[in-house]
Amino acid sequence: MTEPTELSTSNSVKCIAFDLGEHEFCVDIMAVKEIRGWSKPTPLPHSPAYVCGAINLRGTVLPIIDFAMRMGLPPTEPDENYVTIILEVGSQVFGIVVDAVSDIVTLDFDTMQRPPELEASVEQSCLLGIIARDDSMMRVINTNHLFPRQVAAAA
Amino acid sequence: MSSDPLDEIKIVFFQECSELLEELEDGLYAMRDGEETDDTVNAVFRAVHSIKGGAGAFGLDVLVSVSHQFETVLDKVRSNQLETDPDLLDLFMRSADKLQDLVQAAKDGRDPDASECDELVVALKAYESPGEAAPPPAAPAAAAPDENGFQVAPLDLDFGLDDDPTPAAGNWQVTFTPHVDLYQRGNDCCRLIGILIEMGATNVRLTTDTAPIWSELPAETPFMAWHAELPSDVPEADIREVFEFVEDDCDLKVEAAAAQAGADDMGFTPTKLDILGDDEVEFTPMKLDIDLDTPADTPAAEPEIEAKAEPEAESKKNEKVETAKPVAAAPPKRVEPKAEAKSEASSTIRVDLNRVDRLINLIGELVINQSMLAQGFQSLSMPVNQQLTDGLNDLRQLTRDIQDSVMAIRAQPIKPLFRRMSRIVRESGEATGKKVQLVTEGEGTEIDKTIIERLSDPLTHMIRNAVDHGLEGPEKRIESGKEDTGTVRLTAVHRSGRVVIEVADDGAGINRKKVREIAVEKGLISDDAELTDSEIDHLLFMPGFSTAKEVSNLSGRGVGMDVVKRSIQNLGGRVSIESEPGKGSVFTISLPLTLAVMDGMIVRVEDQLMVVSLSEIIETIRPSATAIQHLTPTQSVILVRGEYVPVIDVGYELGVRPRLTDAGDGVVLLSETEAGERSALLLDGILDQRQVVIKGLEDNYGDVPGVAAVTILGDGNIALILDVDGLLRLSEQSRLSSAA
Repeated sequence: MTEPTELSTSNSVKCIAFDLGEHEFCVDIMAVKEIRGWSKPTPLPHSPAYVCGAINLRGTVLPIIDFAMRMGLPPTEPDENYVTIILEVGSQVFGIVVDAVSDIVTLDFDTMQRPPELEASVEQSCLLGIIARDDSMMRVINTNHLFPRQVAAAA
Repeated sequence: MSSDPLDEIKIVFFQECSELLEELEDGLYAMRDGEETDDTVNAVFRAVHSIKGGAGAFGLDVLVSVSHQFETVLDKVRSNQLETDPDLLDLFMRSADKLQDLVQAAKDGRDPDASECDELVVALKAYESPGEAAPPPAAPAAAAPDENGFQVAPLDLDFGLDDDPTPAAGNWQVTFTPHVDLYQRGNDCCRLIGILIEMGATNVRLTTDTAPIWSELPAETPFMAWHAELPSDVPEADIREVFEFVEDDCDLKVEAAAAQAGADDMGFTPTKLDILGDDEVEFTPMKLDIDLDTPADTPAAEPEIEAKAEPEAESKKNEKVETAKPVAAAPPKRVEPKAEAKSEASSTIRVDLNRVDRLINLIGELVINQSMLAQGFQSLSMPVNQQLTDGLNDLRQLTRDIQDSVMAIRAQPIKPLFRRMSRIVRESGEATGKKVQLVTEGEGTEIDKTIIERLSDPLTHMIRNAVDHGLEGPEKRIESGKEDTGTVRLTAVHRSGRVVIEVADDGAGINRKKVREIAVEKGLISDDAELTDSEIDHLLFMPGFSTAKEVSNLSGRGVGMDVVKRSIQNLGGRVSIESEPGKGSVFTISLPLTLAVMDGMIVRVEDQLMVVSLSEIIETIRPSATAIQHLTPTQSVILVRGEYVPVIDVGYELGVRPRLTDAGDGVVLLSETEAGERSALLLDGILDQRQVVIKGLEDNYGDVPGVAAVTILGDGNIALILDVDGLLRLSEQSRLSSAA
């Protein structure tokens, strides 16, 4: 309960909203290092299925996650039109592949509803909560659980 | 980083300490080798003295007491009251070791280990001749200006420390009043005065009599005048020549001595005395450096403040006179070594290692970017533009030059490491009761700083082994017709892009019969194994091998050489033994120059490019279609000159593709693992051999089995650097799991 993303729930938070299929997700803008076009990663052996591989970001080697697969959706087959969001969580830097970045939104985290705990699956622990927005539903992702450290060792 | 300012000062102190300790050791070695000069003793004294000064400031009492006693004895040596002999030097060495321990303890925030200290202090005290009243440490420094001129002389040369600067009759009085133009043309008064000082100027003073009060002081108008006194035997023409280039921009008076009252001058020396006056011990060269650097600015900026400070300083000044007077009389020649030392000091800077690493990263990126750019232009298929081609070529050359220069920043001479080893030799010699001397060669050999750090443990182990197992005891040595003192030789040389370090002893050599017996006994080899001499020697590197009959403090826990070998391999190095019975053994370590870059072979596995470190490859083989024999569906071997070597299919182990069925499609890299076991890596092709920049995966991802690190290729893509040992373990695992 001490994740930094939760501490900031007391007021409104700026988030980057992105699309994945017909779903809308968003991530705290403070965790976003940069947004760049998709480039083909080098596969990493013995990695979990949702890890596409590693890319070189100006000298830093960082892993790329297929966000759709991480959320339990069918794998993305990305091309140049897809977008990689580079996130910095703690000292760890990694990228997630998404369909497109749509907007920068300001969300009131007080209105966020915890995800139903019926199925406490991995996919859900990656969700911080849901915020209703007009007629759509914005899923706020929990960057801390998105890419557990030493994922390779765990796999 | 802590925000406590005292902590920051402490960090600087410890950094300085390590430099001073190095200087101290250097000096002691020079003394031992008979290269002793006044300067050496002075340097040693100064090092101990500075450590003591700093230690006092931080309340490190034990450190102070040891260094104090050390210093006192050193001072005796310095003033020729005490002759050095091997025993005394040995004591000095041990004291230096102790200082190092104490500094380390203080750095780690541990309580100093006070044992031995008392013993050392007593031993050192014994060298103070009886009869004589033990002088306070600083008193001799002051009383012996000739020896000490190195340290203290520059102070007087600043601005006349002398209470009564009435010049001796016949001496030249030089008055030099610079105009504003002199400064505007970029001239530096300090330099000119410095030349005068080299010519023997004394009583150098600065006056600012003509300066208006602070509030009315025009910022850009100088009001300073310099006065100096030169010996009468310096020709007037020489003095004038010093100012030749600035003669139009200043008023220069050179006249034979006419009494001038100097005591009232608003020189700022008194202020300095105020700072320094409490303790003569403060005459450290560090402070003096500051003095030399600042005179031009300080008076111009703060004449009023200086003037106010004077009365307070007056009382201090009087106490100081006795110290200062003989100093002022110090022969001018004494200044020269100081000036040299200073230029040497300013030629290095301390930089945070992280900054250098960041720079190296950026340069690595630049190199990659440059080659991407070049590739991009090639694929444009534009008509050849000479200007553009030249520009690109220049860029390539420049980036390569920059890369080399930046890599050189990380390279450090191996000397400190060798110095540390001399201590190990000394200690292990004492512990085993053997007489040992260490001979080092190639101390200036440069190698990556990280490698130096990580080499310390394995090298320590090897040196201890050499003393403990390699060398015989004195009696036995004499029996076999050798000198009773054993020699351990430590050499470092650059050889074809690598650094080769040798640890050689002139001991009995490896007892191959015994080594073989032990290996059989421990089940490391079979009873009837036929081994060459060299193979027997290399049994020492097998895990769990130890020839020592009993476990000694020094070595012989049986974790020795295999750990050594592993840590050296982790640095991308190799280690080997040569031994000749009765003559001794030589351990040779070959290391890459840097950890950031390595020579790699670019290989292809399916459609992926991967890198294998050249240091791991023994040879490459293009196998015939039938060369690889399948023992079981999951295990295959290749026959290499009569020996069956297990084959590791890299593509399969890394999950890139299924097992290669036709060996004729692939290429085999023969490699040797930690335990000296050979294995053959089966790959799809070899493309190139080049230097690659090593990037860690751990920071953002974690360990990947079978992958040591990654690198970035010319097209900006990532290639995996294979970990041969990891691959071997992987293939064993997959064999076991498929067998189960």
